[in-house]
Amino acid sequence: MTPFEGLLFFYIMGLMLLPGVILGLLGRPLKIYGLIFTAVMLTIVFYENGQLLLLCGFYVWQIVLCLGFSRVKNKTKTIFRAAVVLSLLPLLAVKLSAVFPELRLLQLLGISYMTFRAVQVLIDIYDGRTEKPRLLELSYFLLFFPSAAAGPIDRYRRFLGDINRTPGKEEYCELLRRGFWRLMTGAFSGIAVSGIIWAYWLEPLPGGGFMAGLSYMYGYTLYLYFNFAGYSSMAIGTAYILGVRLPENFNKPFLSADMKDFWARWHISLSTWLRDYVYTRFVMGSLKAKRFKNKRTASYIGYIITFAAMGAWHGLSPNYLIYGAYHALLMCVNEALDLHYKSMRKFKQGAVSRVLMAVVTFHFVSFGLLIFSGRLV
Amino acid sequence: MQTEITEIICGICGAEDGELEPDLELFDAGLLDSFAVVQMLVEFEGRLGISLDIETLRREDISTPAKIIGLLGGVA
Amino acid sequence: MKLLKIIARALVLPVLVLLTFLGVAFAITAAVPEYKDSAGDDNYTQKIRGLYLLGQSAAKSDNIIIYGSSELRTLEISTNPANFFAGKRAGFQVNLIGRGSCQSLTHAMSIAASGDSLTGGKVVLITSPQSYVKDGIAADLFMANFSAQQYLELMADDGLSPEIKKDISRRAAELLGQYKALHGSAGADNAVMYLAQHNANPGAISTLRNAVTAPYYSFMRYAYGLKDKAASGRLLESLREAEESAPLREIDWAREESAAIEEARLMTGNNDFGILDDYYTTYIGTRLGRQKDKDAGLDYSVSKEYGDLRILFEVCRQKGIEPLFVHVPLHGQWSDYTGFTAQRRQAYYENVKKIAEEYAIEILDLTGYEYEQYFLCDIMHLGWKGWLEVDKALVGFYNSR
Repeated sequence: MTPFEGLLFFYIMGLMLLPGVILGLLGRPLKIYGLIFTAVMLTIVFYENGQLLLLCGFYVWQIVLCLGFSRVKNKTKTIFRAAVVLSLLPLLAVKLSAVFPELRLLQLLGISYMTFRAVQVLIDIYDGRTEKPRLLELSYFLLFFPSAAAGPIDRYRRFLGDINRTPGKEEYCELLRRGFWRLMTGAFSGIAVSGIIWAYWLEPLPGGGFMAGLSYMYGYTLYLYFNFAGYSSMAIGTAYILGVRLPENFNKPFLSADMKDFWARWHISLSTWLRDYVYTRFVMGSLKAKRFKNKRTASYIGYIITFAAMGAWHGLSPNYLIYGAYHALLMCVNEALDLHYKSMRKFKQGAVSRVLMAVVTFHFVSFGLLIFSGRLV
Repeated sequence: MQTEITEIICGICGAEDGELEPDLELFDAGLLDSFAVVQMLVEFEGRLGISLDIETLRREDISTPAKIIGLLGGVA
Repeated sequence: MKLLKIIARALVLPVLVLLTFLGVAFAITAAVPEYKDSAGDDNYTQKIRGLYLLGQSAAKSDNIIIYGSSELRTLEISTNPANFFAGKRAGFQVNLIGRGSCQSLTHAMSIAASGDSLTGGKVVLITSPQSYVKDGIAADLFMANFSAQQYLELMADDGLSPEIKKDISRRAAELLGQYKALHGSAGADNAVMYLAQHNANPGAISTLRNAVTAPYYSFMRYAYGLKDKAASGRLLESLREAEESAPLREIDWAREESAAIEEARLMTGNNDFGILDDYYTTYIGTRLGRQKDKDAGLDYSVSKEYGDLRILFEVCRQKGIEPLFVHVPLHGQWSDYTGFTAQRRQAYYENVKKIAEEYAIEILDLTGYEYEQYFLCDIMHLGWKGWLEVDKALVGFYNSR
């Protein structure tokens, strides 16, 4: 059973949400039931796809790592780095299955997302933002069902804030209404619309040829948007019903005037994660250590590392890696243009020129997604 | 300290002293970007000894010189 | 009362969705055209997995329903019942249901799910010798024609015994499980697989799971029925109106036989086995040498298909259907060449005959025609003279009821 797919899934999830809805409407706390809901739904889904044992193993690995690290008295940089590497290890193993077919057995739904949540907790602990995470709260954060399989990627302390609050009856009604609305619109977008695009636009296209490729490029971009944005909506809607306001993942991405704008509007939870924990840390470290003669170099290299990581996070196959490199290049170009052509900035703000820039950006984005789709590589 | 903060902001935005209005939206005007934010934080830490938690920092909180001064004043 | 207001507001969207669904359901049902007899002339896939077209055809007293497999597709042969009885020239319309991958179990499920529409009706069953390999039907082939709709309908039918439901569930669960093991969860119908597993072998957990998901299955039964109607409607829409029935005339069987032989002669010039030229060129041709004795180890003495055949006959009995079972021969000359000896062939013929006798099934035994030229049109399918024998039997079958 794939989450948010198929009538049977929604039927079961609906049944499971009912007690939560009743608790919320009565103004009771949702933390405990939310945990039960997550545990039951994960068990059903992962038992179904035969990955329950792997999930348990992965969970134990990350929990031991996080709790263990939090109890280390002297958290040196080396120990911190070791912890992060260990946390990334399962993800690496799974991604390497693209290169080594023997590792095919190690597939775990949502591992990319759950790993990033775990690493984020480690960083929080190292920075001193979190002292000693509690087992249940940490488990709930790592495995939170609505976002387990495909995000959005949340932040630990923001999540804790939500689950340790009890929304009153009024506030919960609002959450319930909005959550249900997001579920419905997400289902429409992610299942109906994307399904239609797939069946009537993408599937009938021939596998090769320039015109077909062009059509596929536009179609796939729209398909991916409706599919992923719809899915994120459903996850967010379900989370709202459990009293958790997951962060948004999409914000009218096709209105982006340039690539930096795009990454603030597309897969937002991933791009902000990478920005905060890869780009910013690298740049800050470089500036403090005066690593580069020209300070700006830190920014360019920062983008390259960040977007290479983004590509690899999706997978280690050529289409994903090239996708990452492609965006790294575009971000550097964006940065350079902003820097050396100050008139660019003014240009992007005009009404007509903004539309022009949006169209241009859309084409760069679509081409990137064409690479991502694997059709070219 | 306020003058030092303003000096740092101006330096990073590439503006002359006194050129920046207190309520000017720095991101919208293209004077601040991700890199500049990091630069600014490094300067604040180095010159003023104030560390801001970049993870909890939201763009809205530092979008104008006035907001930045207010934020740092609160922390110092 | 604020709570009531809020609940009322929250219910607006679900109620709208429900009304839309009901509206669509009504529109689909109202839009299905009148049944056309010409739906019987070809083995359209909507008939295999659905139930609506079957029910419509069964309701007509002049329809003979023929369940078969790939032999039904031989429409280039004029003695194929769909061609031979075109325009209802003998007073009835044949309805061909089935295709290459359909075997006894598939037909059993279709009949079991038909409610009482086939009771006392005219049903013909044709099974292929090639089905009787040791492991019976392959999971892939079963899945190609498996109908969740039919499974849910037959399970809900109180007229069927618990034992036969269990037997069918066991086989379905087994084959669905095999399919999932081969292909993973994608494309497999896990919901129905679990239901079948539970029905075959109820346990504590599966009973609980079944109780929780029961409303879901009830809804799916209804939804499948709608889908079936929509697909059937589209098919009927695309068919031309039935032609005026040709006037009834006595059939001159001797003349038909000569014509059949003549046609066969024209279509089988390139080989000594009386096989269709096209078939021979495509499948045998230059590989003739390699085919020698390739079936020396082939054996139909033990097969899961016999069990499935029993299920098929049992379902007919419970439904009050007295079918005509066509016992198709193998190609004698070809089988001798590939090493599938007459003795082993005879053993298979006897096995099936015994089962048919056990269930008192009227059998059209064509196994004596193993060596008759032009009886089959290739190494396994009924051909010019074979279909002619079936046609003769169909006239008799129709008039005897």
